Amino acid sequence: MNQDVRNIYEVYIRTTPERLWDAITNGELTRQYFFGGILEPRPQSVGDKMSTATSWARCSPTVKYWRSIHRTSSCKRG
Amino acid sequence: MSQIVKRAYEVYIRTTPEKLWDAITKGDVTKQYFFDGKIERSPRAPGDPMRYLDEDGNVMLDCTVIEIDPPRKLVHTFNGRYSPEEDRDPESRVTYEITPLGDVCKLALTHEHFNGESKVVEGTNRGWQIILSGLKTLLETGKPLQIEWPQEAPAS
Repeated sequence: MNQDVRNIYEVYIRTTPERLWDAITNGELTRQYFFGGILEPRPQSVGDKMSTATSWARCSPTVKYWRSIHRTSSCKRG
Repeated sequence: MSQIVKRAYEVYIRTTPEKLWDAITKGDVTKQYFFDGKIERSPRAPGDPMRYLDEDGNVMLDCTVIEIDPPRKLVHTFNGRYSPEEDRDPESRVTYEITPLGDVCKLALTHEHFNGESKVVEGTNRGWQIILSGLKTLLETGKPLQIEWPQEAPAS
């Protein structure tokens, strides 16, 4: 099982490259559309870790849905 | 080559099922996001023709309704007429399904091609992503997307 699987998505957004870049890399913005995930810290260079912190305590319905489609455990972690 | 190729798209739009249905089936709306294509007459029943006309009145797509259940589901045949070469493409099938989720609608669109992979499959794949982005933007902001394409055709 080492077959490459690649899914490609395209979306056209009325915005500027700078604002879109900011939306992808700024945690305050990712929180608002990335299943509540706050990207921190902002990636600056190659090798930087990119992880999102999620507030499990607040665990919104959206985050619960995200976990359910990934078949992870239910929303109860601290 | 009788392999079915299915391309599936999902887009979540802040709108009502009724507005989304209108946007899919009314020519005055489709011309704002569907490559200027205007549905000649809104479809009402299976067997109805669903033709998309360009600004000069030429037929872009010549489709026929297979299943229609407003504002939830629309299935139609798909016959491209936008270039002579593509006139010869075999018929394919498109399904729209609308699911309301609170203030949002999920729109699932499936395009089934019955003759395996081809240039047409890739062309329509690219086309749907542009159409669905335009549809979402139009419904959420009231303004159509104006895309400024580069001079050269995008690499496939």
